Amino acid sequence: MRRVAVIGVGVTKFGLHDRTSAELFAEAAREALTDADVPASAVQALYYGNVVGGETEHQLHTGPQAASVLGIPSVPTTRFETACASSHAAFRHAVMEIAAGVSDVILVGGAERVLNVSTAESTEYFAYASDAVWEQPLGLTFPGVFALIARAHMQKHGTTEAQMAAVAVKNHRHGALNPKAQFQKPITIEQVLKSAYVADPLKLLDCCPFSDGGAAVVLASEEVARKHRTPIWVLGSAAASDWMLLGDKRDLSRVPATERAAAAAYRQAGIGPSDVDVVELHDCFTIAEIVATEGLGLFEPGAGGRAAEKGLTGLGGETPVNPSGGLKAKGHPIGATGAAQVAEIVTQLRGEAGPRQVEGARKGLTHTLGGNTATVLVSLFGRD
Amino acid sequence: MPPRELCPNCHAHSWQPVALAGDGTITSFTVIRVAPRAHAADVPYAVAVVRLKEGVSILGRIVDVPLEKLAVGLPVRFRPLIAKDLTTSVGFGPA
Repeated sequence: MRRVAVIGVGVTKFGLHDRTSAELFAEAAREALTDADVPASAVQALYYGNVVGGETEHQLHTGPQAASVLGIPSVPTTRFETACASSHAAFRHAVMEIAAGVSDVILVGGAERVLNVSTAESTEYFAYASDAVWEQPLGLTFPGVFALIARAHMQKHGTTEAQMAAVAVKNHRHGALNPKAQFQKPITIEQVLKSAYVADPLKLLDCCPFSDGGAAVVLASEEVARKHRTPIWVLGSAAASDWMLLGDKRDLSRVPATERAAAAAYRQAGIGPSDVDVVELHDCFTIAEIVATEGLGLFEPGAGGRAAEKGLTGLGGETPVNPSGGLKAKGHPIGATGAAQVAEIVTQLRGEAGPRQVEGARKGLTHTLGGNTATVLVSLFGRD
Repeated sequence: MPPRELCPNCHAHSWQPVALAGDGTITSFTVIRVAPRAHAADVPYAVAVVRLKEGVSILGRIVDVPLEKLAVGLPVRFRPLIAKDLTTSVGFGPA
């Protein structure tokens, strides 16, 4: 297998946009190609993440649509849909295609547009990622899924609402350092605890926002990447799945797909959790960050809440998590999120993250979770 | 539960129906206050994972239990919920 590197990254500002998701992707892709210093003609495939284009934009066939809007209509293009992990799934398949020697340069990215519809509509469309026969008819929502996880974690480990709030406060503090973040304003524990319940015990400020945005990264084979100023090597990239129905999950306080994907990615890279300097993980809800830090092996099961409260995951802490602001503050345009996380880790490992730079970061990790925890991808990165 | 085409443990297509009595306890619950469009008129409503005494778990709506009485470990009993269009979904009421 050949080595694969990320040589270019691009991200739009996340938040409210009046452009289509394809246009948002195209902006990010042009930025990524410029950053990679490769011509668009070098791109041999586009792997693309988009989730609710059919619902919010009446647009299917979003892969070739994105390629056309970018201006590279003839490259083979595939749209990936694994709920919120879509562009991370696209990324992993591009890594495998280059590693296998099929292509040398692949553009990976994703985009989403949801702020053109009401919250009630987007809540419904996101719920389509849970079982349509057994769970959607009950009125289950995504905050509801993670509220059930939160309650199980509180019951088993004594995790508190204040510990969850600490995650939101930390990620908003980081987001204030990121000019592309949807929220660039710090918040307090009291504000989180006093915000309205969305799905008990989760409150409005435990939840990431609905967002529009696009992200793109350029992947290359070692031969191409060696010509780039700072190639960031893909050390491992793994996926895992789990039962769709919440009733089938044996222990709601854990996410087995995170544990399996992390184990596989660490094995590929030949490193462990203690070797990772910086992490971008899937904090769609504050409890999701706590459970992910445990599943990735950064902390023991049950210790994630206390670690967040002690500040171990903040910039300057033991293992900085979500220096970009995470989904919570940077925003969560679901089709773009996986690629945006890769863009942040690449920026960090290049040492170009400015005020949110994790000093001396040499190895990084991205973790993206799809929907009801039935999809997880984990990738590991390193610099020369 | 429900039955799968293949047994997830041995991958054989061989199983027998088992009747479930409908008695269980809540293992996790939430009260949903921001709902999808079709359920907007129902808020606030409770959804819970219920572990049945036969050992399987299933998600259901909790009805006729005051929201402040909801608790992990609370015994509940199966109650099919029939909508106006006669579709049914899983519900649980007081044991």
